[in-house]
Amino acid sequence: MNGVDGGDELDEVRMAAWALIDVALPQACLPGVRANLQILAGHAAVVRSALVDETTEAAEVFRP
Amino acid sequence: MTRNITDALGLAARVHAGLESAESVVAACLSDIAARDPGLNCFTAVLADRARADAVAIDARLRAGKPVGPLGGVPFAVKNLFDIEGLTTLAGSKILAGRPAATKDASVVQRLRAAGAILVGALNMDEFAYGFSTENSHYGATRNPHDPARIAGGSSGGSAAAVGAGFVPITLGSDTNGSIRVPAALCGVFGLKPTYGRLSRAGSFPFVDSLDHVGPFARTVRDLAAAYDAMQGADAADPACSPPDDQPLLPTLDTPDRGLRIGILGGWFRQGASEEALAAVDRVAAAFGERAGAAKVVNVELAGAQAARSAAFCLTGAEGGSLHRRRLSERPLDFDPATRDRLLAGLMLPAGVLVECRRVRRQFQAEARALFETVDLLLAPATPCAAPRIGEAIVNIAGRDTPVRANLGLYTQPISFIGLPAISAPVSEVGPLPLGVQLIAPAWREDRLLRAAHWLEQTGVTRAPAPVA
Repeated sequence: MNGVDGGDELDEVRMAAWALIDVALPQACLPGVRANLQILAGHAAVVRSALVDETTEAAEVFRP
Repeated sequence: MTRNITDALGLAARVHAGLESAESVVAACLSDIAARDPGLNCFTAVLADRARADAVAIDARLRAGKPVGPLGGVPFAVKNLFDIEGLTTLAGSKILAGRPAATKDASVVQRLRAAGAILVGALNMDEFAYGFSTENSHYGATRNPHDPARIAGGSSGGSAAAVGAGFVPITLGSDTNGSIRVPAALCGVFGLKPTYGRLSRAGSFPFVDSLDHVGPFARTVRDLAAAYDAMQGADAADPACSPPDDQPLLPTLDTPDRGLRIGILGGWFRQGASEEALAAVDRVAAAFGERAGAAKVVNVELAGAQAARSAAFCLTGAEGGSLHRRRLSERPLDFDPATRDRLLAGLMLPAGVLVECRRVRRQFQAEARALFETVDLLLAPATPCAAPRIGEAIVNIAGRDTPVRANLGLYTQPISFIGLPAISAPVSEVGPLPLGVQLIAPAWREDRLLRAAHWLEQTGVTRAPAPVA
């Protein structure tokens, strides 16, 4: 995880995060989910690189 | 027999004048669907009995001298994510097929019926609206009426193809990331995605609540405006639907806006596009440039478009995944695998990423608002290319191999992400297959959008091609 040295403890944290999602993943889904996570990671990086620090999402319901 | 019903208002006028009965219109429409739809697969349900009964009622009202509404006797059909009383709402899925039938029509369906239009069927779509191709693994692919070997686009593929084929003059679809504009472009018809919150989504199966819009398809801007006018108005049943005004637009179409400032979107909106897609934009821009009274056509950019598209991508997976969480857990193997795996991946996105996506939305919205201080309308391609072949995963565009499903919405996603109103207009004579151009206006300015699209249509630069299938 980006050079973070966590070992077993990091695995525990990951498992705890996964437990929050609480969806059983059939074996057949794993390759597709992994591929889609890689795509989303790329998009998330684009989003992060575009952020200006002080911008916030203020409204509960988006209004144009 | 009426075949290829292409003009809703003309048809309504004939029915109103007694030149044609609503019953005969509906009979011809149903006959045409029965004869030709097996080759295109636009419809997932045809409501023959209900449509005939509605037509009889319209004719009876006319005989009694009672008003029937501006769309009296006009057949229409809706994407199968809209509730239709007595029919199970599928949203393109197998999973929902076992649910009870809807007990009433969706709000916009009710409003079109109140205007006299007659619902004749439900239309095919991508599963849960998550796709741009309408190659539905449960109900089959919808074929493009201009080349049945090609996709109709999606996710409202049945809606665009049904109008393109001339089965009905008006249909409804939904647009979360481009699902009205992409199929409208590929099928050569007009598609309107109004401002977020303009038209009620009540009684439509959701996908991504903060991005979902509904809107009409038609073969002319006048018909598009007539359908839009009939559906306008706040609706307490959809918390997002609280427009600042109701503007009947049909009566204003022939009063063009003077001195329009047109911005041709560059940067992201010209990268990865085929020569034909760019030629379509340039043709429309040239028409505006030559227009008497047009102040100027300028090149502009929205620098945040790529990030906006990426944020829309993430938000879609996350909100969609959250919506379907229980179904993903209980019946994962009943989804189309491609839909399921994208939803599951979206469900796993950390909350922090979603907050960042919403922050980017605010940034991009501010950028677009500032740009609209300098221009009145924006132009961009609707899709990077014309309709790919059914089953084609990769297309070569401008020398680059490009994945079809992920990229047909390249230029539509940033626009719907911030809720701006946009029309996909079919551009004449730019290639063997239809292509569309997006006209994009500031929030709540559908009036400007439709008047400009109508003017372009009058010049012949945009026009729905005759169906060939």
